Amino acid sequence: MKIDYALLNQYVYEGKAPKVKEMVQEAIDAGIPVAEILEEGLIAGMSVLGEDFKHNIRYVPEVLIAARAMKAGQELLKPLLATADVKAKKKGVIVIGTVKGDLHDIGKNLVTMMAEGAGFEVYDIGIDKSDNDFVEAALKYNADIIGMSALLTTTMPYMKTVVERFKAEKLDHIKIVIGGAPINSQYAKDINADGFGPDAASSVSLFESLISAKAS
Amino acid sequence: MTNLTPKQRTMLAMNKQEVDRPPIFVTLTPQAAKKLSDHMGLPYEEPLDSMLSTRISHMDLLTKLGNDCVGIAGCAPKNSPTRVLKDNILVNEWGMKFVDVGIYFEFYEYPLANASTVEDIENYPWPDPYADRRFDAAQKAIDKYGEKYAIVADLETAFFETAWYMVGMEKLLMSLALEEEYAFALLDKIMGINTKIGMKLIEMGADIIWAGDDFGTQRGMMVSPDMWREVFKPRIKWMFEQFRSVNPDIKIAWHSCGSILPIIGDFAEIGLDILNPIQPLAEGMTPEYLKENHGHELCFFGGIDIQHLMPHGTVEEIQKEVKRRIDILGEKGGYIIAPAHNIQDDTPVENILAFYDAVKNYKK
Repeated sequence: MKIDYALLNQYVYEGKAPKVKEMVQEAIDAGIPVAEILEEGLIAGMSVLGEDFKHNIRYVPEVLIAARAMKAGQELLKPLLATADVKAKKKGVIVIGTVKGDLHDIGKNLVTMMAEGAGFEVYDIGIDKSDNDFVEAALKYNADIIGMSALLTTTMPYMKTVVERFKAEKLDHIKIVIGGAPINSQYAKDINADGFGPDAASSVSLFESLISAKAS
Repeated sequence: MTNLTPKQRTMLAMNKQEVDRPPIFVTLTPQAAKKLSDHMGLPYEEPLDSMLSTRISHMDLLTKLGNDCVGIAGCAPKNSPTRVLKDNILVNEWGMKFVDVGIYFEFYEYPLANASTVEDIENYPWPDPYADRRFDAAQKAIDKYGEKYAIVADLETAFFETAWYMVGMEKLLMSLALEEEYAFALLDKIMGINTKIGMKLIEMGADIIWAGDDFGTQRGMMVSPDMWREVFKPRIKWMFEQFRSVNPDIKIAWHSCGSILPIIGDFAEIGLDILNPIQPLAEGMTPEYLKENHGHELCFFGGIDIQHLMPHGTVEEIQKEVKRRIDILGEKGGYIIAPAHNIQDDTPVENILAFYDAVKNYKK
């Protein structure tokens, strides 16, 4: 059986969760390797949406329903990915959260969805997180990258505290990426973060380049 | 020209007449108000009990500093004030729960997080727009300031934002994309309540009604222009018609943070007079573009950056930016100068005073 990945990609893009589920199940039943279904069927659809989101062709509501559709497909693949000898290419581990005092999380959630959609292993530790929380999670999950988000000018200085804490703990091998409405690349430079993600799709590209720089 | 009252200055400017300098309408978070009060040797006024408290509190302090406008809004009524549930969790009359995180109250729980049907919306105990004492603070402010100052009736979080405060932002956005019926019932229910509050404030004598919902993000629209035109535009048009049925001459302002370039013309088309806050660092929202393309149909309100300039800029940078903004946006009137949101605790008192001085001393 041949899977029509173009159609599956389109269902992911349009956020049609029941259709995605149906097609993923068909592919599994047909014995298609799960890693292939994930890569060609789900991730490819989401990455088109990521680009369109970046260019204001698609907007937040469409990204949310697409992420939900993608998740519906992933849920079916997950148990198989865990047991099967087939190994999906693991891109890297990201720990992400909003900083202390900041409970605004839609930007962080969009980055999480896009990064998961691109094949990263993402641990979303939630909102209002301290330097301790970030360090603990980084060690627990063996993170490659920390993502920090803040909406407010009054909470963003805390990012510096977290960056300094990682330096103090000698966790220099973990890259720190920041984002949020008042953040820019100059601010990232000022606080010695490793990068700034202006939007969800660009953040994912940044994660990818940080991981490949690390590998080489 | 120099003997204008603040109200005259504001209304002349909003009728696109040239004035000595643009009217000012600064609003503050409580922490910034405390710092300024201490600096000015004035007693600190506790914020009023309203979802819009930052826009209507500390008016004594702000008019003394040089505000030309005074904000009013509906407040929590006598029988359901905002109350403390436990520790630092508060609940307001809508049933929204907030947590005190030190500098702000942030959402803790959405009362209709599990709503899925129109019945869920219909059966919810919604606030009564005409509840006892809802308008007492507004009346007091009108009595005290109404003759001399322009009265701005605040009706931000008009329905889209209040709707997501009820169910959660992601849930509402997804439901709109999936065209779930309950979501439209929710928007209409809230719009009905808030429109009545707005109409009452206009009837009481407001000069400007300042409605709003954030449709922009730092880099573009939050929802697609198509969705906005289908879902929001007709509803906002209806609201504006209700406002004008009370007072055909009411000036209508709309607040939306972020970059909303694609829908500004639509707003003008349905009768908007004043666009706020034209967030300076949001992509594309330049004063030159706005004045050139929409200056003939809209007045502007806001325009002073609070994401970098006010908290981190120098006095000199503030002076320069104030002059630049007035030169462009204030040409031939049509501009209320203001920070693009409430001034927060991270802005030095010196910078706030520099802002007022720069406006008051403005020379072409």
